[in-house]
Amino acid sequence: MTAPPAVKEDLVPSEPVVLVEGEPRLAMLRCEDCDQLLQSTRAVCFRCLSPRLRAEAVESSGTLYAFTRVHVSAHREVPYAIGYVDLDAGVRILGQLADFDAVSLGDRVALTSDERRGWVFASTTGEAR
Amino acid sequence: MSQDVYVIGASMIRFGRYRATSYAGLAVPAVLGALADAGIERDQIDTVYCGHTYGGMLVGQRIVRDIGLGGLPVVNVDNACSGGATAAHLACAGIRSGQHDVVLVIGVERLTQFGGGTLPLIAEDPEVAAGMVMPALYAMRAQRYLHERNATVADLAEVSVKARRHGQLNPYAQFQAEVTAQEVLGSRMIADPLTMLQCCPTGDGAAAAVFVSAAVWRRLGSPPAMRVRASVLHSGEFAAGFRDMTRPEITYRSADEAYEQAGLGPTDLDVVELHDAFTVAELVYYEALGLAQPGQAVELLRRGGTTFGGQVVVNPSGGLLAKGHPVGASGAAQITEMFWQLTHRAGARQVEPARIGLTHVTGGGISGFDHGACCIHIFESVIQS
Repeated sequence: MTAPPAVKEDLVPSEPVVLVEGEPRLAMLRCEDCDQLLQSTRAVCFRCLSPRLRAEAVESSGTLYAFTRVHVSAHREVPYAIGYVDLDAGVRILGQLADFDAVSLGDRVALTSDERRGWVFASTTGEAR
Repeated sequence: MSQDVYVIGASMIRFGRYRATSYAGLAVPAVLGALADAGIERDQIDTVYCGHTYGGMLVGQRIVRDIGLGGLPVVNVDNACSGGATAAHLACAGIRSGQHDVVLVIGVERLTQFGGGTLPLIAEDPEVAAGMVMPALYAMRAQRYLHERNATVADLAEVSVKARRHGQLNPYAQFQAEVTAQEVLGSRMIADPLTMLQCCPTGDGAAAAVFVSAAVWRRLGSPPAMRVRASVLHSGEFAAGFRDMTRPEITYRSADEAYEQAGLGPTDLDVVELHDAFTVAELVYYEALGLAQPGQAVELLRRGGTTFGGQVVVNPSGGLLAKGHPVGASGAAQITEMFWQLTHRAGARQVEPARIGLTHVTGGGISGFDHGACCIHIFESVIQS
């Protein structure tokens, strides 16, 4: 008789950002069999179905694909700005933005610490110049 | 050889705010209207499919109970904004396979139960936890669309202006007053760059339609009807990384399959009811449904190609923007509108000619997809002289 399948506690809050040598990185999972990066806790890799997933701290640098400022919410203080960041690691993530007025479409962005809101994405396009 | 499927009756209530009315209270008038329109007695129905999203337990049973109907299979279908259309898809599949002969399709939703604001999404979804709401999703799509197609917010506003102009002709629409582009752009900002009048309203509604087999249609004396030429349902394809928000793959794929099933193409369409939940969606779907080449959607709208007298009339009902969008009801309401159009009973908003029509809804609000669901139907007018 086979054992019943294991169940992951994927609703247990985990710290989304870890510090590596003082730099904020995103806590994700890497499939040990097909190398796919996974954004959140899952039982198996969605691509190859392998259960062999290990934690990986992913660099937060990426490109801002699209963003908006939301003016209506029953759950949080408005307005707030969010955007899709295409991480250099190949994953798209929805993140808070530091400042709606200080980013442009296609900007290079990375995580930075905001006193009030915690970890947010801010433009690094200016810095690179 | 699969059976042909016919729609022989349909009805809906005017969409709007009915704070003091239950799900059954919304749906029963539409159901009775559809049965009377079809000339079908309740005991002839062999199965009920009921689309909804926020109706809770046994919403279909709660509805048919109130018209003394029981003992038959009742299937409740949640597929976000595609719920009502998915109910119709299941009716088609059941009739085509020979399992059903007379199916009642219902779509119903009561959004005023939430008091207002954006649609409640799934709290356990990571993007929802990060602040995603439906207007934000479409706002980001709009930002990319304007950027990539060299369009402006004034172009977006024209979608609302057209929707409201059509809605003014529709006694079933939640909004029946025209608006100007200036009013659209001057209304309250919801999610940059989408203003209030570029978003579908919160409301309640219900629609119902009677789907039958070819045998039943003939037995009833071949009444004016619409024949189902295509019925297609898809879920989204998950993408962990880049996804082009201006080209939602789910609608492209569903449309291709629908045209193939029907043996028809976009130029055959006389009338379309598509999922204009927010202004930008209409422009994106002109391209996805093949009504316009990529980059030509704004031009098609501007030259009046999608209003009365144009090459194809898109959303003669006023669409989701003017008619309203009680999510689970919308797919069934599009089919009701198409039934009226293709049987030439659409009154002041009648499209001429109205021979072939397409209905299109998507659905959802979860991470990793353009949308969670998409359902497309193509219908053909059948009026025996």
